[in-house]
Amino acid sequence: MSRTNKQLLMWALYALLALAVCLLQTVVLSHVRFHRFPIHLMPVLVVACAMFTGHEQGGLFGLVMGFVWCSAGSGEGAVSILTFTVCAVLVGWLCDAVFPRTLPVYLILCLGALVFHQGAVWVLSVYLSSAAVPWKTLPLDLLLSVCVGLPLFPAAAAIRKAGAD
Amino acid sequence: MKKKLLTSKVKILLVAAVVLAILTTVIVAVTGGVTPGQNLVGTILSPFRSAVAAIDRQAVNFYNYLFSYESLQAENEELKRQILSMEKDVQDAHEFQRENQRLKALLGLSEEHEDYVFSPAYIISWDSSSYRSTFTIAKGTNYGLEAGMCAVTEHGQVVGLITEVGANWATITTIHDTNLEISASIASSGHTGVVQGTYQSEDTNLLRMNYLPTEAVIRNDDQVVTTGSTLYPRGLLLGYITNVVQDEAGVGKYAALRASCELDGLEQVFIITNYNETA
Repeated sequence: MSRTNKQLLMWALYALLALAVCLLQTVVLSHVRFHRFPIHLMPVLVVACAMFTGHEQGGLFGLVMGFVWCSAGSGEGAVSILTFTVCAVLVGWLCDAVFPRTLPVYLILCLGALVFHQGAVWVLSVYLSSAAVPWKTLPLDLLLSVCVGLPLFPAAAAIRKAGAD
Repeated sequence: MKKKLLTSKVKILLVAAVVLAILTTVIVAVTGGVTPGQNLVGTILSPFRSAVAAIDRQAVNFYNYLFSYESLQAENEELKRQILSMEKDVQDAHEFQRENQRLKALLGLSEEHEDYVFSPAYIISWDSSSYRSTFTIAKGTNYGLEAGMCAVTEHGQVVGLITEVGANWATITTIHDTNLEISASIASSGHTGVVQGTYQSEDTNLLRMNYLPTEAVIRNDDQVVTTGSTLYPRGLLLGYITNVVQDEAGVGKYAALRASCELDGLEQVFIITNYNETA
């Protein structure tokens, strides 16, 4: 298989994974609560993909996912476009330059991305609307999201391997 | 060698992200909540969402079946108990309503005969024999009942007499029983006779008044009432004359009566435990 075909296959598989996570998030996790806490898988997915695709391609993936997530009626608004892109760029760069692509690093980066994304959403919701945001449960939301998003790490790694030269 | 973070591509990406975010926000603000690609993304995702939702429903049902079965069963049992309890309440309400109507009617009878002392009693069993017409009530000597006392309906119609009595039960033989004979008189003429049941298969509500004198002039629908005894008062309604016939021996007449009380649906009777004999 040529390099281009492998790349196409890889991105097709990432797109499928993204579709699956998006459906899981919007259909299942939108009403399923683990002890009242909502699960946020989309930032975790962006981190998983960016870890293995680098900061440039990962950044593009983050941008597209941010736009799709915003257009899918997530309720988090257009800030997702920005946060997903920034997260993906930073995660891709950190994994290229500083950290190894291991599970503990993935967990730490996921947590960081979730804090950044949810923090931005929370700040905007506080300052742009008068809605009362339950920030006290946010740390537990994020920890739970990281745990639930754990299978995305091996999935993203396997897809990257399929696209490798 | 470490990669450079802010390459030209990354800069373009970040600028594009900022521009797209601002643009989307502006469009959402202008259009009133619809993002630029919302229709497209929604259309693409819709069939997948439907499929996943169907799978999710099945999974939830399966989960409930596995883990909520016992709680659902318990809830079901509790609801069944509640329904039974409510049905019992409705049943009690109907019973109280009927009893209320009977007591209202009895009140009229009590006002008419102030000397009568009634002891209400529910029928707890009927004789299953084809040749007897008796029933049992759940009151006996503990309520001052004695054999020979008269049981009436709330309208003062004679139902029968107490023939056996125990500490907390009593058997009442109805006026339809062929073994029970009650001394009676025709209210309009005063002719006396003895009323007993006939148990004719074609009309079990039919009574017979024997030993009427041959010269007695009796009309249909004349009232037949009790002549009284030491245990029950006179003037209680037994029935209405329907026919008069010469008896088999030719020395007297007997009259066919239609009993005033209906035993069908009878559930409560009133025993006259005391009355003023001189009234």
